[in-house]
Amino acid sequence: MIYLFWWLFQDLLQVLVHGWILAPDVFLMALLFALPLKDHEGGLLLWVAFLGGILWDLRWSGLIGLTGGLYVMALMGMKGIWELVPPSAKGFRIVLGLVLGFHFIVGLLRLLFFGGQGEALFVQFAGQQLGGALVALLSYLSYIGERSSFHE
Amino acid sequence: MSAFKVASKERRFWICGLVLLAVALSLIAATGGKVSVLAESYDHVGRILFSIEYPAWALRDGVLRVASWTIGRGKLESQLKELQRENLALRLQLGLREERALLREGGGEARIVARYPGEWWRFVVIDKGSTDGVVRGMPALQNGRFLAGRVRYIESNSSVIELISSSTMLVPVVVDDTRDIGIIRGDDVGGVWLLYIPMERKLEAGMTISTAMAGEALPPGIPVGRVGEPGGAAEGYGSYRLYPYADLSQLRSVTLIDGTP
Repeated sequence: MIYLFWWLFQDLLQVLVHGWILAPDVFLMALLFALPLKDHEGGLLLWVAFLGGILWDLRWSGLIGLTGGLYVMALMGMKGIWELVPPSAKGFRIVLGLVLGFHFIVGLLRLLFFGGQGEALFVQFAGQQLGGALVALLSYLSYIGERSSFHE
Repeated sequence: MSAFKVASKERRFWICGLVLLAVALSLIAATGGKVSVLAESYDHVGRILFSIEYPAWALRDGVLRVASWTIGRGKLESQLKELQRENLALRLQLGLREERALLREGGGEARIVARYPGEWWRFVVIDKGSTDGVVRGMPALQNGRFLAGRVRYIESNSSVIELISSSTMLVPVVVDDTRDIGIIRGDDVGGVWLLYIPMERKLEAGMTISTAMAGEALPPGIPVGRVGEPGGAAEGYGSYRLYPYADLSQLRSVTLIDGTP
């Protein structure tokens, strides 16, 4: 249910910024955060990512299967790298870095897939990545806030 | 036993991922580049999401209106739009198609609701469809004045406009100063070219281009753009770069006009 909320949030963001920039993939970011941090059934997250991506393609990208595939690939990449991180290094900052990294890669692959023509599309991509960085910053601040209130 | 369970769960994750990736690739291969699929899918999903997205669209429109009003241009812009529309109507009436090329009243203005990155210079989706009287081939103008594209595909509540920068969009045009007839065609990456100008005819940069009488739903006399630098030549015909009046990367709405007899 929470992922439906994030999908709709991303959709509403896209409506608001449509024509200027691409909305940051907050739905994907929520899934990427959930994969290592929450005790989820990984397969379920893959299905959520796939269906959310397909719906996004139907509504916004116009190439059915592209976003679904990229989202699934990002989750698989996240899982693969997370397994390689030594247990002592596993922490929120690593997750944050990976989430941002995969958000960037998905955006870039999408841009390359579309041919990346024109300055307008590049500006849209840059805006999307800045939005993603802002979301990451907010989640980091909320994490710090939560941790300090826990210690109190 | 527990380790076995974890390993099987892991395996399931990777298998599931690979299967979904294969499905995604198959979907891309099966539906990629089909404008009918694109229009139909947008229409269905857009209808389902309409009520959820409505507040965001209203907010967006409100912000744009306030921003426009704040800088003191709102009223002037609407007056200018009205004058441009009137001007076009008069031009069309005085032109070759006379009273047949009437501006659609009311529903003529359509908002752009989707622009797919993959088809950035080819298609935009507007929020008006067959229920609003949109018909295939209708010209779409920016600011009610400059040719931006034509209606290519129609659903009940939305339509797809093919932009003049699309390589599959061919528009007969006339050079206003010399009355030379040519065809414009896009290159799918933002450029527009004026083709089939006989080699012996030399066009100068800055000459204006407008739509030609073509015996179909496109009225003549719609301003298209200006001639730019010469391009290649083949089989006795030359080509020129065309700089469209319509700002195709900044389209927010278009005016549809009914050019049918």
